[in-house]
Amino acid sequence: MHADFQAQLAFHLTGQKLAAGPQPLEAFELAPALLARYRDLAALRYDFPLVLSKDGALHRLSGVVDAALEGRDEKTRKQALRRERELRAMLAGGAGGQLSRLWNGPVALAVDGELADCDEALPGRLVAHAWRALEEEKARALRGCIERLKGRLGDILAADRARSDEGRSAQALRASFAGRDDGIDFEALSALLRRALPARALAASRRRRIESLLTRLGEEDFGPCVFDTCSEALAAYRARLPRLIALSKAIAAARLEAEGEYAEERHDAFFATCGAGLLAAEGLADFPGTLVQLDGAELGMAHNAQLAEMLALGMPVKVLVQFDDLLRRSPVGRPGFGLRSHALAGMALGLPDVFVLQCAASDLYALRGQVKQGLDYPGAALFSVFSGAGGESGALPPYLVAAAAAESRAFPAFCHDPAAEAGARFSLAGNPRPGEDWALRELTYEDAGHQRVREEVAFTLADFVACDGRYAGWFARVPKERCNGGMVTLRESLAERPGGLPDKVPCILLADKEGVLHKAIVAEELVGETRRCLEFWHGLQERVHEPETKAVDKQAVAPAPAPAAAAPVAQAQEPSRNPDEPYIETPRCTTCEECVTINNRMFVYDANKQAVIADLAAGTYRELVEAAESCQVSIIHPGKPRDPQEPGLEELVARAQPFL
Amino acid sequence: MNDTPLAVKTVTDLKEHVVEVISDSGEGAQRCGQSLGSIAARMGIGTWTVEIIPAEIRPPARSVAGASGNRVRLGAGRITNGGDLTHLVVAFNEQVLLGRVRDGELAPGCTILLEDLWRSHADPAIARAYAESHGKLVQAGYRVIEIPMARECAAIVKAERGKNMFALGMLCSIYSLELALAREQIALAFGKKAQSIIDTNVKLLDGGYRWAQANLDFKYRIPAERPSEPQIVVNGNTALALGVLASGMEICAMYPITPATSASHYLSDVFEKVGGIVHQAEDEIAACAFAIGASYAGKCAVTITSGPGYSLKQEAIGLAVMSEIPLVVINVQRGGPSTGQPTKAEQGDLMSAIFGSHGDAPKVVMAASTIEDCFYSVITARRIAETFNMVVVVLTDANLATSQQPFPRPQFDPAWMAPPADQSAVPEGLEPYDWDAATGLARRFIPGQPNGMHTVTGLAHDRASQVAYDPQINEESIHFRSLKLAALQRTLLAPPLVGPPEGELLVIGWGSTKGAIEEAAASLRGEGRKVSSMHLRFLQPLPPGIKQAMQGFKRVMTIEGNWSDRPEDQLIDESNRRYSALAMLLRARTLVDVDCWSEVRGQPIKPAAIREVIRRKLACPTQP
Amino acid sequence: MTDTACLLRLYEEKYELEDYQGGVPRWCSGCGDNAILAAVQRLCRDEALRPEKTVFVSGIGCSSRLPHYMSTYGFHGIHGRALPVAEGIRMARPDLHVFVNTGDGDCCSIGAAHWIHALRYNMHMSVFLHDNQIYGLTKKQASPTSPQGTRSNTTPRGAWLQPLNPLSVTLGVQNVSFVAQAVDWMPDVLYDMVRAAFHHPGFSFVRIIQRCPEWLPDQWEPFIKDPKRILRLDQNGHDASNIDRAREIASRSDPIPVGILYRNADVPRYEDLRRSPKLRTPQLVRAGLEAELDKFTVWPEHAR
Repeated sequence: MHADFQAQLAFHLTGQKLAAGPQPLEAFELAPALLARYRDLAALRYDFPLVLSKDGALHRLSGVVDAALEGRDEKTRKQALRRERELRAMLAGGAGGQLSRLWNGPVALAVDGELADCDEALPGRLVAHAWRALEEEKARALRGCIERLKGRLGDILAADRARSDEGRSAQALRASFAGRDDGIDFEALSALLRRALPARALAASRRRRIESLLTRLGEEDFGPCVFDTCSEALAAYRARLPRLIALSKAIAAARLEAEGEYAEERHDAFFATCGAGLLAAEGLADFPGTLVQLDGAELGMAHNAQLAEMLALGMPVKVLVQFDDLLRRSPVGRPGFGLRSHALAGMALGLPDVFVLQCAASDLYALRGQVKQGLDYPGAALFSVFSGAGGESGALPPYLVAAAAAESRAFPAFCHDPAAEAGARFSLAGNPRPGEDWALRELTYEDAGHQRVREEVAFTLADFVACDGRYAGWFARVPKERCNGGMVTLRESLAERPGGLPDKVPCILLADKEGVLHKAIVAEELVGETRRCLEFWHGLQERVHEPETKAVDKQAVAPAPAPAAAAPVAQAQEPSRNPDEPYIETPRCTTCEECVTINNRMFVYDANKQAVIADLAAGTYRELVEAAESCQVSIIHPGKPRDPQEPGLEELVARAQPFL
Repeated sequence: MNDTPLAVKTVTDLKEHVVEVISDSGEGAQRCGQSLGSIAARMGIGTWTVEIIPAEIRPPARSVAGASGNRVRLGAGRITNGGDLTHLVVAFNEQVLLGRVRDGELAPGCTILLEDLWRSHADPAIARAYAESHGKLVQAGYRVIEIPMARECAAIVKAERGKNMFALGMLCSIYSLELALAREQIALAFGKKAQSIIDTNVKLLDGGYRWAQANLDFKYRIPAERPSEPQIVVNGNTALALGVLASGMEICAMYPITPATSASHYLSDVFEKVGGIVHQAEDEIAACAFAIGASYAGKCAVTITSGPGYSLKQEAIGLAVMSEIPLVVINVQRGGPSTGQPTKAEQGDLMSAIFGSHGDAPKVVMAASTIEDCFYSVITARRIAETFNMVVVVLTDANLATSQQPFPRPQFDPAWMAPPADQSAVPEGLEPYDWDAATGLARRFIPGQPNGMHTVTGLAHDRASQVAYDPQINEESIHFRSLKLAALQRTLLAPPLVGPPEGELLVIGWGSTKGAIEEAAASLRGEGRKVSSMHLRFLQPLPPGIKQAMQGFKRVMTIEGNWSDRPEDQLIDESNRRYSALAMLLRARTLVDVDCWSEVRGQPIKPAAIREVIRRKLACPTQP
Repeated sequence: MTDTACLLRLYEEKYELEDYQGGVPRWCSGCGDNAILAAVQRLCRDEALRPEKTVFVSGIGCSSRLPHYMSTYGFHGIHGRALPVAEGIRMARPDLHVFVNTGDGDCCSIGAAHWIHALRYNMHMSVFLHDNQIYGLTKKQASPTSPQGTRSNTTPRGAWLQPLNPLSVTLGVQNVSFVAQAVDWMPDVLYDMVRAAFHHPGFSFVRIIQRCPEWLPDQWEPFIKDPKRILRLDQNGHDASNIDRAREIASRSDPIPVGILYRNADVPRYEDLRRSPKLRTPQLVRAGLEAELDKFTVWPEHAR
């Protein structure tokens, strides 16, 4: 076996360098080849920075600028784009603020709002921004609904007052008639009305109820709130719940009262007893909500338990868990990269009624639709976001780190929406090539002989790790002259499972600052992590296909059961009938009154007001036959006579013939 | 106030003056006149403004029938009507002026400020016509002053537009009105427009003022007393619309018809702001039926119309009467019968208002007699309608509709908004028509009230609202519907008598003639004649105390704007004379030999005409 | 709000047909009005409509007696004016269920103008045209829908003109949003159309071809006897969103098309366009009035 290969294999297996073997890398010496092209992000018109406009909407700065440039000349366009680039650089440099204040480009922009770059603060800002807008909207709606109800309850009292003697006093009448010197004697009018139409006051109990409802509806004084620990959120929620229930009951009662549907005999008892049970998450969703912002790094088992409880409670809480560093090495055992995010995802996906969205911050704009769905979802929603701002990625901006995490399946995007159609609840939208192991990218470069080479390259967890200074030691560069057939791409080796290819050395492509490509050996420990990462990804892929259990389809609201009358005529006619027995094809009866006019004891209407034969004994065969003849839709079948003594039978039987 | 030296002139003090500003339509004479009225009102001079409206929509320029503008009566104290003949006219061309002369509207020796640009007009025909007319006017003894308004305006704003503001400036000078107030008024009038436009108009105003100061050798002053409380200046139709708004009604259903429409125009603009709806229906009948539907459902509604529309609504009104659904119908009367005189004033609909619709259809009929009345009558009408479950007809006319007169700004009272529909459950045992034996009053069950279910019907029905052909039931229900009028009548006060309770003649009137009648009577009393007057607000039922009041007078007569046969016609005598509407009612009600005098010229009746009539009446000996 | 919604559901009323029966019908036995009455009563029961929240509006004619035979609120008005009355009710009261029962004379003759404009307004109500093609109550005069040649007291030698076709008229009006046809002798179809009309969010118009045993006996015998002379649109894959197709079908009379010819739930409703979302409080009215008065106010010197 070749000496070079020996050493390389040794490094791969141990992660240690042998005497003359390949050298482990220095931190940031090399970076993944695929990232080489993104040296200057500011020059790129990508999704960031974002504009968080007042109305809660999100816009790409570049989109806003393009919109403003509609049909403008080339010169303006150039200036505007330069200005845009400058802004992007400023934000990357940590600046921030209102777009209108920072922007002094050649064109006016239609949209304004805070600028937000893809940094550590982004996930929190973006989610809270959209959430606040929705909360304000909700609060308006709730206030409106309560005001209307109070108005209608007030009307009931006003109407009662108008009927009362007080409401019909001379003074009150003069006022309401806009009476001046216009010749009406209001004393006389008052007396006359009181005598002619004695007052009918509201039942005292109802008046009391309405008055108390009016005060209870007045007490809506709590707003939305934000917490950064579950325990606080839970405590606050427990404290608020009774008031929510009280208000919700007041609203429900007021509705019934206003509709005149409040029936003391049953509603009194109902409102006395019913409690939290009455409030499904859907009910609570109309009230001010709760937003909890958590730091993924803090999530220990204890927190997870509280979080799980909160989500499971069905309280309409929105939880944002932010991860900044996926590559924190666990103190014991294997590195366990992304362990916490996986655990969280697993726990949340275990709760079928919770909305879950996981994605890298870099995809937040692309997935803004899902973010809104999550916030709109009446129940609990969990947003798990990787900011890319932690870790030790040197010069690499958080955006690229986040993007890299997504690309490498280290932090794949997925969404579980319980409100969606059965079968469409879980999706991997937002991932590159969601159907495959890796999103293969084409890499073109010049080889030593200046020949253009094209190669399909996978961006694996190892490539992602290669961005991080802490783990440079897991890679060893192999000088060109020492490359040999024992080297395979990490992708190839992972494709073979279990255990990959023995006596092969997995490598990935890295590039140095000058953009020169190098093969680098990957240490086995990292290869293992990469394999686990891939397995988690496979797990997600399977979810897409497995049918959801307990699929309660929210779309299909069962229509009122089709009543007897609507049943098709055909099936109503039983095929086998004894022609000697009289009968009526009731479903075809047009309620024309003919037969019941002939004999309303023999023929009666059923619950649908359609004729049936009630009592043959109540009439004669003659009447049966006459009814059959007079029935315009000929659905009465007289059958054979029952009483052989009835006079004129032959004639009747003959007349009955066509109706048998 | 301005740099031009005042021409030395005497300032004549006047008790009152009638001013007209007339032009082809579209030249802004309307705005000029209205502004003049408002400025005078702000200074505390009494005003009454009447629109001068051409019969056609767009009469040809310089046509005799095409006069468009305003007639403003200025006077000390409160002015209650348009007054008599015009003392001063500003005319933008001589032809429209001839129209006014022909109508006999100008007082002898009337001052005429005439635009003279026509004299040197390119078209010889026009120049000739102008010269001739001018000659005629001078011959007729009018004091004609030719004024180069167009030229002066052009000098100020490089355009011939804006004459009307120039004229306003002249009038401010002539009547010693405060220029500062005039400027404010312009700012107000053009409020919605750009500042530049306001500035231009102010320039023209100042120009006119300066010109008059410098070139006219006369100037008037009318005693002014600044109002102590805020006044509003609107015409009768705007007042009606404001009344609808204030009455708390939510739905107005109408169909376009002159002269009522302007009320609906204004209401359409403002009603939505307070959650109201103006529904322009497919026809007059639908408008009335729509309003009835809304009222039936618990939201008392109003329909606004004029003569022909009122005729069309009759059957539907009968339905509301029969089913005892409250309804407010406003009829802005115009000349009739048939299409008659759409833009002209007449009081011809009193009988159809009272007796209209077939069968016995008792309804309440009120008449507004001032602009202020137009506002408050709607509120009162709505409450009467809902209290008695009756149709209430409010009569106004084209005169009130287009006249402006300041009145104290109303103080909104939430009580005007009638209570919301009663939706509480109906107690067992009550019936939809639980007629009270003494008054015929019944409660109404409104959809949504549990246990109140019933079907209202235009057919004869019993207390359960069930169709009934039983003769007894039919008579009973007619009896109770009629009884409600008596009940209301019991709550009415005797109408006030203006003037001493005894005398030679009592004049009774209704509607828009109030101001003219009272002014005429007062001036005659000033001459020592024993004339008093009484004006009726309720025509159906007629209030108590009328007959008693009559006892104090040798003679009683009504003065009305509807037809009555002329006793001097050789065919006419007591056996066939058709009396004016109110006279006929009063004769029937009081068995007193009530005479009448009436005029149907389409114009507001003038105090002078009334004075003349009364003089004649008093001159002839009383019948034994 | 959803919580109240489910609360209300907790206590859904249960009604029987009898709960909607008012006076005893005075129609002739054999009259199709009886079938229509039964169908609407079934609808009320099956939809559990609260009688006090339901209004049946009618004009004049045999058909228009229907409200008297319901135990809901009813408005039996004047000839031809049922629709504008119903529009007023709807505009004033969004919370009520509004039905209109009208006849071929009431709707297609004296009330024709209202009919056409009601289609334009597209206010939310269900309208049932009882079309028996004759004036029944006034004892047999030709109506606009009487077939040419119909002998009546006013056309003793037969009606001179082609009949008016209510379906093609309605389908010709801009804003039409629901047009269906039923025949009184097919109770299942009749019920389905009445129900579909009720569920349509707008102006739903159902023409019901109806027998008049008194004045036009046997007019429909051939159609009753021969099922092939009825065209069931629901069983013939008619696309109710296709108005051109609907117009073609409407122009046919044999076989008689029954079912929904046209339905468009997206046509805006006049009441929604007009009714203000504002809560109508005295404060609002005061504010509005004061704002207007300000425009016309002449302030005394000191006030300025």
